[in-house]
Amino acid sequence: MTNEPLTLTQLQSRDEVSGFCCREGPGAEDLEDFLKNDALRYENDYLSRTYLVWSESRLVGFCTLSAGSVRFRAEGEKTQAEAGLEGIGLPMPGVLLGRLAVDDRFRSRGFGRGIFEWALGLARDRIAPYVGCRWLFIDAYACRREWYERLGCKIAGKAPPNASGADTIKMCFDLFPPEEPTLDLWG
Amino acid sequence: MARPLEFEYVIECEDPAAEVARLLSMRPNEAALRTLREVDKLDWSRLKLAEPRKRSSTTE
Repeated sequence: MTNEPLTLTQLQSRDEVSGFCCREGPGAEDLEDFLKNDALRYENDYLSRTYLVWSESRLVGFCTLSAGSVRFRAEGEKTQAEAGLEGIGLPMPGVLLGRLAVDDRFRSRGFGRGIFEWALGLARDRIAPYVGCRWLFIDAYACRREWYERLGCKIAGKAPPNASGADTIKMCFDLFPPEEPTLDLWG
Repeated sequence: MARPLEFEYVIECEDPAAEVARLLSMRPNEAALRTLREVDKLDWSRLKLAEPRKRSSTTE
């Protein structure tokens, strides 16, 4: 990441985020909309944590983290609606990187990678030692797939279209990849 | 309103148990190793992870 001195804070109601500008590329405006209109509501309901990255008083970018999981369901198996409370498939726990965005004026300077590495480090070094989670899951816009792949993320699998119809993909990063293939306990 | 956060994904596959086993045993690629090496260098004392807010402060 850049050598500029940065400050990292958790989103609070008094934070001035109205100047954040993210308009370039598919999904960008949704990221801006989320920060300005929705992130604080999730914060106050304890559903997510949004972290802001500042360079002096300028908001450089943000990321939003929550607990999350991926369920692997056999094709043709009951849907969630059919299964009800019994649930479906095999769930795998992780930390969800629900949003990551950099202000257009700070693009191509390594801030996005820096924020991603910070989120990854937080999940691996600060959360996983206390709460079981194997992956960082990423809810990414399809147009960002290559960017995340360059960081080592993989496609988690084909997910059904989401309710909003947005063109997103579900990716994952293994926090604790084995040096050697592990014993197959799940087969 | 922006697209809502999706806390859980459902991935369809032929054999869930085999898919989970495959993911758990998958070795990292070069890109992932490079990122993990960068994460190893993070200086948490310098980053000063934001302190969790107290419940009362959320309604300020």
